[in-house]
Amino acid sequence: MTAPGIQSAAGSRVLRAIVWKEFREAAPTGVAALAIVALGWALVLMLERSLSGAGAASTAPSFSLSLFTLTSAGVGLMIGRAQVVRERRGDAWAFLTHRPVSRSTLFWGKVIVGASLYIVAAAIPLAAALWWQATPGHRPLPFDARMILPHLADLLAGLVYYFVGLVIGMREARWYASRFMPFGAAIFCTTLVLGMSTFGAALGVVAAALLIAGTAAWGSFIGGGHYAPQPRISRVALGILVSVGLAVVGVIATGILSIAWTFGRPGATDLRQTDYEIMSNGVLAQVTRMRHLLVATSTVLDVRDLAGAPLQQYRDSASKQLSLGTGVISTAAIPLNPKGQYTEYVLGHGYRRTDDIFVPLGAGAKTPSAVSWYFSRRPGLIAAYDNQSARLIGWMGPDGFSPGVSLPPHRFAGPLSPYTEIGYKQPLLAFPNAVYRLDLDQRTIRKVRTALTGETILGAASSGDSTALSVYGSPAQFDAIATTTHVYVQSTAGAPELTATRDAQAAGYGTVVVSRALRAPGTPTFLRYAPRNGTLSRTQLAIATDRFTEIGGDGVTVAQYALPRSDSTDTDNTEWAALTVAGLTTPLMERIVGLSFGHMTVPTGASTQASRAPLILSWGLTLVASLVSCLIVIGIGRRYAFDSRRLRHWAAIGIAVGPLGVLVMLALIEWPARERCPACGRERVVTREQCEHCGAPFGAPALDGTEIFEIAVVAVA
Amino acid sequence: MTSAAIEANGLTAYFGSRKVVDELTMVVPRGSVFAFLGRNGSGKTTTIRMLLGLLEPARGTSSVLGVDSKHLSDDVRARVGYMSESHSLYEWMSVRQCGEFQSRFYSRWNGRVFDSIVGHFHLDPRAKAGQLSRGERAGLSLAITLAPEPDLLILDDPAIGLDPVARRSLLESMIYVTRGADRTIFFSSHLLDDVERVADYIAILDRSVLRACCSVDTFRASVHRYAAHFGSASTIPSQLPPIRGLLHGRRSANDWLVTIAAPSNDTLESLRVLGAASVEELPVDFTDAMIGYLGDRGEHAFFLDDTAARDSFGVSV
Amino acid sequence: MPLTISILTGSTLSIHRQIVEQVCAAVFSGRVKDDEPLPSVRALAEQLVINPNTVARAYAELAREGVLESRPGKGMFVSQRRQIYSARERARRMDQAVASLVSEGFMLGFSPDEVIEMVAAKMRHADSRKWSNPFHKGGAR
Repeated sequence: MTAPGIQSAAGSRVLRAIVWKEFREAAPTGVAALAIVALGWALVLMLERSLSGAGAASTAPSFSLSLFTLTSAGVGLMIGRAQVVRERRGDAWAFLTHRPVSRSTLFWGKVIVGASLYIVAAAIPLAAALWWQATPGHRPLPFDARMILPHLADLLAGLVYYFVGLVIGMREARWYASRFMPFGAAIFCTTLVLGMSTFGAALGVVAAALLIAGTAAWGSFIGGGHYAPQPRISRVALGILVSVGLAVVGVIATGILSIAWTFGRPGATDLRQTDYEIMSNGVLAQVTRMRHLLVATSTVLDVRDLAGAPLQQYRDSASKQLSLGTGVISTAAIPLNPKGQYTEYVLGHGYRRTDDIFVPLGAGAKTPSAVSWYFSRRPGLIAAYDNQSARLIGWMGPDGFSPGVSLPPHRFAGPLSPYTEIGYKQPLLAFPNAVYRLDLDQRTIRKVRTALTGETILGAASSGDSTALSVYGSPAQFDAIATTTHVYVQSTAGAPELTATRDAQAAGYGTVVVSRALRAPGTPTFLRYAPRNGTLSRTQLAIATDRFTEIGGDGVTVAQYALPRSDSTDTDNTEWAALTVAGLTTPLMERIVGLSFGHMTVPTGASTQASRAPLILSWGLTLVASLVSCLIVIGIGRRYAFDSRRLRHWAAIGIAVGPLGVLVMLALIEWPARERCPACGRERVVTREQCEHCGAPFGAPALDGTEIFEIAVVAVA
Repeated sequence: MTSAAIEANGLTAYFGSRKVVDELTMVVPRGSVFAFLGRNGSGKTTTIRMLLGLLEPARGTSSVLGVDSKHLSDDVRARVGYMSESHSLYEWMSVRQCGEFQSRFYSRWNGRVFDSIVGHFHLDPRAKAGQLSRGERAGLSLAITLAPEPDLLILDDPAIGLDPVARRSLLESMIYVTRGADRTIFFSSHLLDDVERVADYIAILDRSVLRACCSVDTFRASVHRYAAHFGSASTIPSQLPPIRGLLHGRRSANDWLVTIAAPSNDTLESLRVLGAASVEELPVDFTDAMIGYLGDRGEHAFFLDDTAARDSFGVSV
Repeated sequence: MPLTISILTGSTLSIHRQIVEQVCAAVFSGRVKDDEPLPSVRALAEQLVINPNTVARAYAELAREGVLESRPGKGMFVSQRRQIYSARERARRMDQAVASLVSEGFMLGFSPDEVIEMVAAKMRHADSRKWSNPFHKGGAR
C-alpha cells in the first residue's frame, strides 16, 4: 500500500509530464489559432473604422453572428482536432497509451493544455479588441461592460467546438460523414447561443453542450475512437451529438429542397397577399396585391369592400395602381406592449443586442450626419458622439443639450418605450410619464405630452413626412401617442387634435397605427389595432380580429370594425409536399413534447377550422415514419444479433425520433462482419462466440497437416 | 499466478469482413524467449495489439501476465515493455528528454539501463529523436522500453531496417534482458538467423492461421526434407499427390525435393508409391524449415533444362 | 582464452549441438585441460550472442555425457572422469568414423593400402601425450 500522499505526488508528476508534452506539441497550433483570431478582429475593427470615417456608424453593432463567433469556433475545432489526429492510430496510439497511466489521465492532460491554449488564443485578441473599443477615440459608440457578454458566450461556445474537434479527431467512423456529425451539433449549439435572450440562458446552453461534447470526447478517447468499448454514458453523449448533427444536416437539406421547390416553379416568387387598406376617399377596403419578391414590387390585383364585393371605382387597372391610398398618411406602428419584441429578426435579440444598453437615434436619417446619438438607458440620457473624433461631445437631457462629458443633472424618467425607426427619423421619445420631441440637427428637445393621472404612456410615433407636409400642410404632420387608456393625436407643436378612448376589445393587442386620409371629406382618422406582438395567448391570438376605429374630423367616432385577421394562415395555400416532408421527418417525440427545432411549420391544433386534413395527414405520416423506423431498427438489430435489452433501447429510439433514429444507429455502431455458420449454414455475426441461430461455436481453422503444436507449451497453462 | 506470460484463446480479429487473425490459441511460457514469425500481413502486429488491449478482438480472449488484455491495469502496463514496429518516439524530444519523459511514468525506472543502452548505440543525448537514423531510433526506443525493467518484453519486428551492427546490439540487449530470471521476451522478426540464436520457442502465423507453436528443438526435429530420386525424366510425376504435412515441393529433372512437417511412415510410403527409385533424407537447416512455412505452401516445380538441373542439384543426386 | 566456440547460424546443426561438439572437440584435442573452468552460462551466452538457455542445455548435456562436471557454487569444469560411453557405443562411434574415412578415401580414389598407410602415419605424428592419457582413466563400465 502506498500512502495517498505519495500516490498523488506520483500522479501529479505524471500529469505534469503529460502536460509538458502536450503543450510542446500543441503550442504551434495555439499560436496559429491566436494569429487567426487576432487577424479576424483586426479585419472587423479596420472595417468598422473605415465605415465610421464615412459617418455611417450610428447603427448599433450587431452581435448576432460576429466574425469572432466564427473564428473562435474554427480555432476551437482546429486545436481539438490537431491534438489527437496525429496520435489516434496504430503505433503512435500504442506509444501514447501503453504506459502505466489511465487513458482518462492522458485525456485530461490533453484537455488541460488544449482548452487553456484555446482560451488564451481566443481571449487575448478578444481582450485587446475590447480594450480598443472601450478606449475613447476609437468608436463613436457608448461602451458598456455588458457588450462583452456576447463575445464571452462565443468564447465559451468555442470550447464546445474544441471538444467536438477532439471527437472528430478521434472517431474511427465507418462513414466519413458520421465522423463529422458532431460538428453539426456544435453548429446547433451556436444557433441556440445566438438565439437565447439572456446571457445566463446562453451560458446554460454552453454548459449543457460542454457536458455532452466533453463526455463524448472523453469516451471516444478512452475507447480509442471506437464506439463499442466506451462507457454507456459517453455512448449516449456521442449518440446525442451525432443525432443532433444529423438533424441539423437534415434541416439544412430539407431547407435547400424546399427553397428549390419553392423557387423552382414559375411564379413561385410571387406572393399573393390581402390586407385592409384605407382608400384615398377614406373608405376601408380589402386590397389583394401580388408581391414580386425578387424585384421588390407589387401589383394590385383586386380591391373589394369589407363585405367582399368588388369596388366599382377601382375596376380599371390604371386607377388600381395609382390612386388607392393617395393622401393617406400613417404613423409607424405604436407599441402597446412594453415588453414586446418589435423586431422581425429572430436571431440577435436579448443579450446579444445593445438595445438594453442604448438605443441609436436618428439612424433612419437618409443623409449621414456628423454626430451619432444614442439614448443611453443607464444614465437615462442621450449621448452625442462626434463621428470624426469618435469621442463623446455632450449629453442631451430633458432640459436640452449640454456639451462636454460631464452628466447634466436631470435625466429622463422611466424606461424608454420600444423605439422603432424605419426609413425616417423618429423624433418622438416616449417615457411612461412624458413624450419628448427631438430635433437632433438643432440639438433641441421639447416635452410634447405629460401623462395624466391614471394613465401610463406606452408609445408614440410621428407621421412626420416632410414631403407630405409640403403638399397637404400641417394636417399631414401629427404625432400619435398611445397610453394605457387613450390614443392622442396632436400637432407637432403639441396642440391636441384628437383624443380617443382605447378600444376595449383590443386589450392585449400589440400595436396601434394612426392613419389620416387627407383627401377624404372631413379628413377622417383611423386607428388600427393589430393583435400580433401583444400579450395575447396563442388561442386568443387564433381568434383575434383586426380592429379599426374610424374617427371623423370632428373627433366623433364614426365606426368600429372587427375584421378577420389579414395575417392569419391561409389554409387554402397548404403546401402538401412540404407538409409530407415535415410529417415524415419530424420526430414523434418532438411533436408530442411540442417543441420545434426549426423544422418547417407544422400545423398545430391551434389553427382550428377547416384545417383538419393537413393536421391528420402530417400526424399520420409522423406515426407511420416512426413505426417504419422502429421496424427497420429492429430488423437491423436482429440481423446483428442484438440482445433483447439493446434491441428494446434502439426500438424505443426508433419510435421516438423516427428516421433520425435509423440514421443515428447506422452512423454510430461499428457493424461487425458476418459469416456463414459452419453448423447451420446461416449468416452469423463474427463477434459472438456462439451462433445466434444454432448456438454452435466457431470452429478452429482447418488443419493442413503442417501443424506442429507442442503439448508441453500448451500444457504450461 | 499462472506460469504463462501470455495466453491467447481463440483470438480472432477482422478488418472489415477480412479475417486477419483466425482463432489463435497459444501460450508463451514465463521466462522464455519466444519468436513470433510470419510473413508481412499475416496478422502478427494485430495479434500483438490485441494482446496489449490496444485493439478489441472480434472474439476470443487473451491475457498478459495473468491479466485479461481488455482490462490491463496501470501496474500491468508498467511491467510490460512494448516496442512497436515503427519505433514510435516523440520526434521533437531530445534523447535525454525522451528518457526523462518516460521515467516520469514508471516507478521502477532504471536510469543506468537507459544510459548504458544509449551509450551502446552511441547516441548523443542532445540529438533530437526525429533526426536519428533507423538504427539509432531503435536503440533509443529499446532504451526507453528496457529501462523500466519490464517482466514481459513485447517487440514487434525490432530489427526491421537495422544494419548488422545495430542488429547485433539489439540481440545483445535482448540477451541482457534474460538476465532477470523470470523475464519473458515475445518478439516478431523476419531475421531467421537472429531467431535461431535467441529463441527458445517459436510460433508461426501463416496467413492469419497459427501453424506451429513449439520449442525450436521440436521444430527442427519435426521438419524433414527428402529427395525422391526417379530413374529418368519419363518416370517422374509432373505433380505430387496430396501429401499430409507437405510444406514445399520442388521438382528438378529426375528428383522431387520435398519438405514435410512431422512426417509419418505413411508420408514416406506415399513418396515410394509414386515410383521413386530411392528416397533419401537430407539434412535441413532452420532457415530452410522456416521458408517451408513462410513460403507458398505446396508443390513448386521448376522446369529447367537438363544441364541446368544437373548443375543445380548435382550434389543431392 | 583456450576455449573458442564459433556459432554458425543457418547450419544443419542446431546451435545447441554446435556447442556440444565444439566443447567435446576442444576437450579431446587437449585445448582445454582437465579441471579447467568453463565460462559461465551467462558469459558464454553473452559472448556468443545466443540464448543462455541453449548454453545451459548444452552444458547439461555435456555434464550428462561426463565431459563436464558442475561444481556447485563454482561453475562448470572439464571432467576428469571422461569415459562415458558403453563399450558398444564406443564401438558404434568408431565404426561410424572409420566408415566415413573409408568412404571418403574411396571417393577420392585412394587405394585401401594408401588409406591404411596414411592412417598409420597420422598415428605416428599424433601427440603421444594424448594417447598416453587413456580414455579408460577412471574405468569403463
